[in-house]
Amino acid sequence: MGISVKNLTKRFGEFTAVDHVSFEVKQGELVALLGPSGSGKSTILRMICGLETPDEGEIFLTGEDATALPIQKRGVGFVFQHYALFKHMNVWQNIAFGLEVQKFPQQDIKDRVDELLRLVQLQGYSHHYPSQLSGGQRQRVALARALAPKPKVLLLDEPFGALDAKVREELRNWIRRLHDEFHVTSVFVTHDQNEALEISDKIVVVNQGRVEQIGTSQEIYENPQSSFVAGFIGPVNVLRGKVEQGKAKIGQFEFALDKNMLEGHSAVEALIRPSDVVLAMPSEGKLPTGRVKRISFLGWGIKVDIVLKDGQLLTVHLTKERFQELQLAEGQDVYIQPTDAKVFKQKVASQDYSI
Amino acid sequence: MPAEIQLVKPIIQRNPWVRPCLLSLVLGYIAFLIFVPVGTLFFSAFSEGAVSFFKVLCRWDVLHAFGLTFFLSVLAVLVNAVFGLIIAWVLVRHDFLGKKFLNALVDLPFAVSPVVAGYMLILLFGRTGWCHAWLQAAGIKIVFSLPGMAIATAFVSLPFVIREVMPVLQEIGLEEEQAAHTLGANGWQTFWRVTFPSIRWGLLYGITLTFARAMGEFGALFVVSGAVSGETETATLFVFRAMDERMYQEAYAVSVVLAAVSFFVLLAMEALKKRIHEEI
Repeated sequence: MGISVKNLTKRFGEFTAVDHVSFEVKQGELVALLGPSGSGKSTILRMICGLETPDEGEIFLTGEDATALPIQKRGVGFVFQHYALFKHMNVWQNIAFGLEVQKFPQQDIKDRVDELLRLVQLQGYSHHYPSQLSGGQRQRVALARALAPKPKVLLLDEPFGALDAKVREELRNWIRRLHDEFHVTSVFVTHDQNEALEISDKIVVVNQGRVEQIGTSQEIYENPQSSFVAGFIGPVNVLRGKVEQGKAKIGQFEFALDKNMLEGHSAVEALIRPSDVVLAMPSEGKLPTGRVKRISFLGWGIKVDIVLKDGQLLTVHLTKERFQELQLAEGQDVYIQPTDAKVFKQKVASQDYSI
Repeated sequence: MPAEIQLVKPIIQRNPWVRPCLLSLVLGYIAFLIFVPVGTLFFSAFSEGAVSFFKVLCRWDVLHAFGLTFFLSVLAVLVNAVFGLIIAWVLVRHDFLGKKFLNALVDLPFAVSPVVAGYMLILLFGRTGWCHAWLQAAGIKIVFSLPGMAIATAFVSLPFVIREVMPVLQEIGLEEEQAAHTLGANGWQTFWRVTFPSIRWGLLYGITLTFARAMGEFGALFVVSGAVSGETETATLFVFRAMDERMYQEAYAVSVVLAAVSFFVLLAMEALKKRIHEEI
């Protein structure tokens, strides 16, 4: 096992930032800690690293209990959002720092730094100072510096957070390639669901200091276990309704219910992905259930905003081909059939993360 | 293109006399306060020729006074560099009850007149002072001797290192140090290899100010030293005595040396300021 945390808890005064969090990361896995800002994901990462001390719980790194281990002895590489490069050292000295303080032989240091400079494609920059580098280059130096002493685990705290969109994209793919090559057990914190979905083997979704769900990108996207996860990962429609005769009745639609949801919860909400809806022209047996309010061009497809009969809004994504077939126009009545929906109990004060 | 010319034309009509008037006011003020007195000093010091100037500087009591000033200043620099660094560290990095009070207290030597500072030492260590009996039993003499003068000099020059290092420490933050820890560096390695290089120019600037302030100290030393010629008489105290005894040539010569040293310290400070701005 690469990393294992059990019942990790951290309080800052009255505020519980991390609340009994447990999860495991297999050797060589790339795992994303995904959650909104303030969800406690960074605190979890900092506790694994040893930058924060947990109030409760245990941390195991490659099988060893590291809960009480000082930061220097944990063998973790940490990459900060704002790089935290040593400003007065050049690129070469930055990367060599960990090897020097750990008293590696001079020749080994030289070889390792050269190897890492090649790896992060900064061979020509060994005498540059951090202030002379771009954001993407700085983050690559930070990564090389963290990897230099061959850490058991690599922790990345919002590693792409301070970069602009195009560089983020590049660095994201590059980190995935790097990981496939070296298989360092890695955990990275992000609030960007696309980032998490795209490069991680597994995602741990964190909200309000608790783990909401753990799974692969596909599991989490297709089978969210809470309305929070469904809403946070990818675009989603939230439709309100209630339980009637053992089914969730939402407007004109009916959805099957889990048995454990039947009792005591009459108010429910259905979460429907915009791509999980079939639209058709009304015909016999296909009575109109909504009216097209707005049609927007998204580049890869078409977004259709629909007002349902009961006044709730529904957004649907169509491929260009399907849109061509349908010949939709704004103000038109349409037949709507959701193909998939996740029904959850309605929360009292539901957060608004619909699109 | 008349429209563009319209744009660059100043909106406010300036009186053409304002600039030269302001400039001559500034120059006149600085000349009155700095150029003229300093010039007079140099002129007077060399009025009886360079030989007599250097003769004064070779007098035994003058050499002793310079030696003492230098010794006290270096001592103040050493003590306040170490303690100033520690105090700055504690004030920036630690949280404790009374931190704000301590932070304000650090500036006290700026606010209190040096004469009062010297008097406080007399009250504490003098013949009627609280610690007198205890010190006498231990055979330690503080007032009217070197230890008292060292304490007085350290007191008046305490805030400089603290006030120069604190903002730099605040600015650099914790992340670089945390990064060093994750890479396996212990506290000592982290301080010397990561923190110290970041604060060194600020520290050096503080040290320069400390040295300049210590060298020019007069009031507290006047009270606490007893100003015995050849024993507890520093350069500034010598100038005072020389004036008093109408040894003007001696007073001028020593003053010129003190002024010259201050001038070089000033140059060093300017160079350092540039480095600090480059680093941050």
